Amino acid sequence: MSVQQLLITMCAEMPDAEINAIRKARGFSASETASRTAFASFFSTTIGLQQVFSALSAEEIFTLRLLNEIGEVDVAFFERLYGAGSQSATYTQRHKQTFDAVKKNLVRRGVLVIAEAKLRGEAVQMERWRFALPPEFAPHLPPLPGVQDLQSGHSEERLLRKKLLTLLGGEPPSPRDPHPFEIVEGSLYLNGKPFTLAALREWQISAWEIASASFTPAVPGSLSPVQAALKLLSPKRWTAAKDIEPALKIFCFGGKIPPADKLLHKGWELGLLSRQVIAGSVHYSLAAALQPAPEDQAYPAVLEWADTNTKPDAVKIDLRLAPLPDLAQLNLLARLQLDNGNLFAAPSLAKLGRAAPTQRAGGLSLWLAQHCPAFEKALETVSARWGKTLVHEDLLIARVRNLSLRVQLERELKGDIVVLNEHFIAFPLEARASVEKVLKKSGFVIKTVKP
Amino acid sequence: MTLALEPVDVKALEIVSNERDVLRDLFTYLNYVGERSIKRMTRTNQIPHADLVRMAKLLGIDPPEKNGWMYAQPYWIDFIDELALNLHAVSYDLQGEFRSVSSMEPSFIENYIDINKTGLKKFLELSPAKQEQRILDCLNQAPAPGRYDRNSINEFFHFGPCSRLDRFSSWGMNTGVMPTLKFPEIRTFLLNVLKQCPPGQWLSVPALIAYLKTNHPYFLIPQHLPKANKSGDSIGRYENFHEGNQTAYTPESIPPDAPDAFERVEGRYVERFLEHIPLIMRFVDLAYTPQKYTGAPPSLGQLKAFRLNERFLRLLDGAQNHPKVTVQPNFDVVVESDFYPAQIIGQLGTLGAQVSSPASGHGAYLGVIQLKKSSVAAALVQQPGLDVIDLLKTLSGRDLPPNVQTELDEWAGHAEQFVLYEGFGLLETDDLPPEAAAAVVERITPSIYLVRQPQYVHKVLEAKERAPLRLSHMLELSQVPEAAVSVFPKQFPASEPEKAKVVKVSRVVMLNYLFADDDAFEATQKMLAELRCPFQPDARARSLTIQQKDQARFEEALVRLADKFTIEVE
Repeated sequence: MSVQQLLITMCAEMPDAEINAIRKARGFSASETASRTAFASFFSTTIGLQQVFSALSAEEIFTLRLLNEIGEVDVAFFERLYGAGSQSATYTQRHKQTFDAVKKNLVRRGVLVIAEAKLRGEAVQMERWRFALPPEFAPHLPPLPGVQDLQSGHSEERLLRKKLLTLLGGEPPSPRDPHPFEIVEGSLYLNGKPFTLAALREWQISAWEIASASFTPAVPGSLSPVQAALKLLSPKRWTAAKDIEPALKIFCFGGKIPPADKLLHKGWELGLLSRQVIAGSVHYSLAAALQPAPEDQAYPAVLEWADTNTKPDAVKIDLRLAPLPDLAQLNLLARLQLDNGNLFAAPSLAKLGRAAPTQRAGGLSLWLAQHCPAFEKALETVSARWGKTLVHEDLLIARVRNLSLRVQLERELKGDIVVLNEHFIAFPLEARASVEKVLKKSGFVIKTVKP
Repeated sequence: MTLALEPVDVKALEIVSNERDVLRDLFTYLNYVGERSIKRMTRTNQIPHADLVRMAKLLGIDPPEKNGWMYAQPYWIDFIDELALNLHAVSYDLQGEFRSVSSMEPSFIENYIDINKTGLKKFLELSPAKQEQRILDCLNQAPAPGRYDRNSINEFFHFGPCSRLDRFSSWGMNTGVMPTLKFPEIRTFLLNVLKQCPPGQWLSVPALIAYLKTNHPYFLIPQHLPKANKSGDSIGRYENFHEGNQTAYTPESIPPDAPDAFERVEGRYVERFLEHIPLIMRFVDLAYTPQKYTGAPPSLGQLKAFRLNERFLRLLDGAQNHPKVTVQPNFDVVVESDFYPAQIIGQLGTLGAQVSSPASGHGAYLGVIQLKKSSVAAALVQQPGLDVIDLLKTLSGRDLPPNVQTELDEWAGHAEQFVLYEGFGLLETDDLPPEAAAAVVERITPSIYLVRQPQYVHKVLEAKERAPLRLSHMLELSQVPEAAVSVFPKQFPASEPEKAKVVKVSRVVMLNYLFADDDAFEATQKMLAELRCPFQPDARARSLTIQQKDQARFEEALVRLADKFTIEVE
């Protein structure tokens, strides 16, 4: 069930006493709760929300934040907040106390949606209850305790660089790092995927998980400590390690939680977090995600990380200094190769051909053309050839001998048909059903030819 | 030699024929089972109700009762299902497994009906008459050896799908004379007796019984019985057969020395035999008396007459009448056959639509298939080597009507009207490199090529430094960049922002009346209903909502209630 369906069901089936309790807690007027249908709309508003949230405990707020990440849960989810009965008891006995607490503290305060799901089988009523937080409430949930400061703090890149330098034979940042960084057919690959900023961030998170021995608990809904930290922290809001610990206990319920200061320090070392000292203690925030260089970015005449003098037809790249977005961009435009312990970028007509015109006309591309004649020549060649040879895939081609049938198909497919000549047409794979419908209606059959 | 039995006038009798063709229904069942994966029910090992309903629809019979298995008479599809198993055309588990030591009955886990390809192939290779003969043999031999209830699976105790007469109680069936009887031989004997009767005439069943009593008194139970059974107890001739209430124990069996003992045991068997194999296989029509039986059950003498058909005699004589196929100028193909010609129907069914398959009145198959242009074209696409004209000529044994032949010639070209190339790609280029030429299937225009393995072609072109563009058109046609040379649609400049959508909303003014009194609230509802005034009650809030246009009728309701309630609207 979607949250909206849960909400409609709740408003339709909830007893008057419960509705009255919500009305009082959120401060709705009697007329706003008079119609059950209209009440569903009032419930989703922010009326009285701040007041209710301010009355909730920090753990309850953290639980609601986690619930917002997950979506819909059953009563067992709230075991992390209110505990549960004996393991050997029945489901109902085990969760009765939890259920009562959820109803009293969250449902009757009007911050949680509750409804009974229609399940197949013989589930007891306690198993059928479903809870959700309306997505409209999420932006109003109080943030983690911390300091709002627009300063960017200090971000660490040392381990990232160490990882890049493994390409030239350097030591890996961690002996337990299983993800290779290598050159395959002229392209950089990280963990078997082409090197991009997204692949780099994936590696950073993975390395953080490994370094912190962070595992996803077996309890449904719980996150690993690393995933929890990434969800809890936000850019420009600085949080001390001790302030995140109660939230980790909720987010990572059922799992092993490493000390928060060690966990966040490792995240900083891997470049995912920023840090600064505020009032004598170290505070952390989420580091700004790496963004590709703007296409119109102007490059200086001399780039300290790119040497055009070593080889006439290639640029030597200094992995210690090359900005990561530029390295990812270079991976799209040039053939990369190792020579005598150095990384060189040479022009690749295939890669330049695959690149979009805006990428070929970007700042880095222009700088390469200006400072390396081989790149200039390659770009000219590609610009002259680009758009003159096209390979179309994932489409269906048909030979239609009957003119009236072709007209019917053109009328049915409208913009999804290309007439190639007087007999041949092409259309997307998804349009096949529409084509078959026309053929069936007009009494024609399909003769299929496969490669 | 013809057996001269007394003819009967059946005007006052209730005539019963079997409308179902076992062979045709068997093939319908096999087609259904072959197309779908049917898992039998875990507890009862029966075909699931939903599948039975679907099959019933295909066969054109009434859907089964939800708990049909509880009734004595088996459902027709269950009978066909068992027949297919006994013919080795399908296979499924009959044993099941006891899931725990406390299980009272076996469970059938993941028990799917599988088509037995070898058995079915052998069956399909037979001619229609031989297929019918196989079914007859199979029913004759029933039940399969080894069944624990084999002594009760016979006409005395067991209901067939066409049975109307009641049965003897099967109490004590594993003792006495019953285990010694050889029913396959008995049935074969009776079928041979029937073979001597003239076809197409209503003949007396009592006369048939009298003939057997006079000439073959021991056709059912041998004259000399074993003196004792395995336990040493003596065997009485008729001790398995008790008259009276069949649901209660009746100690007295039919005395062998009674003058009508033959009619009471063998006679009853003959009646029940006639409504089993001969009726199921549509060899006979039967005539029952409509009068209620008043004697000691099971009934005797209710079945008065039977009428054999030629088809039965031809089957037992082994005559191989080939199906007759006639192609008519109106594109109807008429198929006549004593027995359902599955192979011919399968061939012709792909060429057109079955218009009708009426029963001919004597149990033979008569089907009409109308040739359709689209079906013929589809068959030609499916079977590229098919020569429809030749096939129809071979089946009918003569030339086709000239107009049919001309049309079929034209329809053959219809299969080529739409040829779909699936798994191919398109290459647009003015200069095809020789390395990519091997992948070209057809040159559509001077610059567009139909190619196989487009990924390979792209790789070749990249290697040749052609800077090829690769476009995927999975969901919709991808737009090519404006600078590209292509027949495909180009990327348009950003379109103008969409205008706000115009939505018309009707305004309806509702009036809501809140009642303080339950009685007045209910009385007003009833009165509004009397006046046909639509309203929306809310019992919890004790409110009535009506549209403003109905206000006059609401006020009229209040006026009518004036003698009971003085209602003032604030």
